Amino acid sequence: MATQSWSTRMRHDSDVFFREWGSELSAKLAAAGLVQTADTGQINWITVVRGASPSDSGYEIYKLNDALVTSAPVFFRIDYGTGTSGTSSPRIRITVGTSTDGAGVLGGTALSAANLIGNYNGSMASDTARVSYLCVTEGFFGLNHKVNPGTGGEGCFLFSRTVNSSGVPTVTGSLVIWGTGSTQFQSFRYAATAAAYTLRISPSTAEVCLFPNTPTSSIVGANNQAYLVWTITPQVAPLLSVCGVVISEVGLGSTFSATLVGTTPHTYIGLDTEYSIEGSNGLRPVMLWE
Amino acid sequence: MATQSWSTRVRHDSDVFFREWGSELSAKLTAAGLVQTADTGQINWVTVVRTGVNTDTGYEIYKLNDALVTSAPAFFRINYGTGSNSTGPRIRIQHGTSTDGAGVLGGTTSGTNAIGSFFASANTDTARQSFLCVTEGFFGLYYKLGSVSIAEGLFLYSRTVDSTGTPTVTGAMVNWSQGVSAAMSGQSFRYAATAVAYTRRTVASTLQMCLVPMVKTSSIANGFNQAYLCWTITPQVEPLNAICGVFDGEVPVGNTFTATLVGTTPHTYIGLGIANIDVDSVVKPAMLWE
Repeated sequence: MATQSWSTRMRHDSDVFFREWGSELSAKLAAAGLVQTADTGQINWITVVRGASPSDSGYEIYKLNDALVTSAPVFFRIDYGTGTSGTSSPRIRITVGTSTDGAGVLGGTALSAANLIGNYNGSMASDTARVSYLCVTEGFFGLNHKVNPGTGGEGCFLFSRTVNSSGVPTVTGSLVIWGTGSTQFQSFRYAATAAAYTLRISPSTAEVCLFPNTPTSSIVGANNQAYLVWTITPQVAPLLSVCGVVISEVGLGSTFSATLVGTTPHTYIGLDTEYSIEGSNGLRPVMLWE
Repeated sequence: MATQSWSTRVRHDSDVFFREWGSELSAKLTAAGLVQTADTGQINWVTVVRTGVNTDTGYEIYKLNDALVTSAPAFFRINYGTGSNSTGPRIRIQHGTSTDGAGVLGGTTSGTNAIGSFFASANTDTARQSFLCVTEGFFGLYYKLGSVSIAEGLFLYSRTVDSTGTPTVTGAMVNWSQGVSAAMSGQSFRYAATAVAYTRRTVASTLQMCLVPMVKTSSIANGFNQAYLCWTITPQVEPLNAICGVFDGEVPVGNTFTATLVGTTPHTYIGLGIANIDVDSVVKPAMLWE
């Protein structure tokens, strides 16, 4: 498993361009280490054509091929399609589940709906290069897709397994964070009795990250602070693969090292400023980058 | 140092009644272990008479006589007076790290914050519950439960602690509130060089002292309620050991429970049922009770 970063255009004003960005992402997901399943009905990037606005044109099913793939399997259904801003607006939706029926339908403990993770500012018909960051590693799958700095519109999806006190992923559950500008959250318990907890559609109701006193700077000495992100199973537990940082202190694509849980430091990368992870909009998420 | 619990009336419709509730609280503070200083000009409970609306009639100065009294002294100026109604009592408390010997606090200081301002007349003999705890690194007062209108007051002073839960000289957090529907306010302090009184916060969204991830009605896990950590800054984010958040449906006012918030030593806490303390306003504070 690995990281992937790339900077390319994203156009959706023809079937050819749709196939370009879709197959590109598909290849990056595989290169990062997600494993595509043998589910029937998956998208054919040679023949697929854009659907109407809005619609899903096709899907792919992937599994997180980490050490817990057998004991706590996790599948992702990625729907590629057209958004609400006309036939030239791309769209990605993702569903998470713990099983698949072999024909593209996820089940088990699953996100309550296919969730929009990218709207890309509507019509996309230019060759402007947009950077993307993708990380697939033990207990984590994170994607910040086609960042459009300053104007937003990119997609973000972060799947994080629970961890033990050493920071090692566990079968207990996970937290999923996604957004198209406003960040949304859902916690899951995979261990018996499994539960998909209530979907939270804003950082202030999700309360997964705390920014005490909401200062303008987190600096202590020469270092910025990283703010823990928490989930429930239902016991409150910190996560290892995502955290919050003060927006101005970790730029897009900048990396830093922190020890969030346990004693092993890890590397994290700054994502776009569009995504807030706590109620005052002072912190944004960063993700594992290793 | 000790706890104090009492249930008596609070009336303010005569000078005699003013002296009654004021001297009662004064005696309780001393009984719990706060030490009154020799500052000049302190209130005389035998001769004091009420003053007009929205005034402080007199004050007392106390110090927290804990193990850090010399290395990190903490003083409290308690102003007794009349609120916005001529028969409405009022209490305001200021915190500082020094006193000039004549009732003026200095050093690293807070503003003078109203913790009980009895907007409506207090002129009945209804008994009202109070809880007071003074112990190592902590002074907490929950005053006159369920008084007229939004009447009860809350003041919490919590020193920072080390990883074992032992109070440190680094700093403190002060919280105050009045009334069941009022917001918790707070201010963090750094005493160690370079000393700082951080920005005073009066709404939950900027105070951000407690985090309740994802759930809104129940914290139960494995048959137990959870206690949610409260955090301060020095400016490093640090958990507190003297206060925490609980669902008041799980820990009603006056109920106690045991929890291990920081370190390995369990402590006893008492539910207060006043002033939501998390960003989404779902939990209320509990304070040390030992």
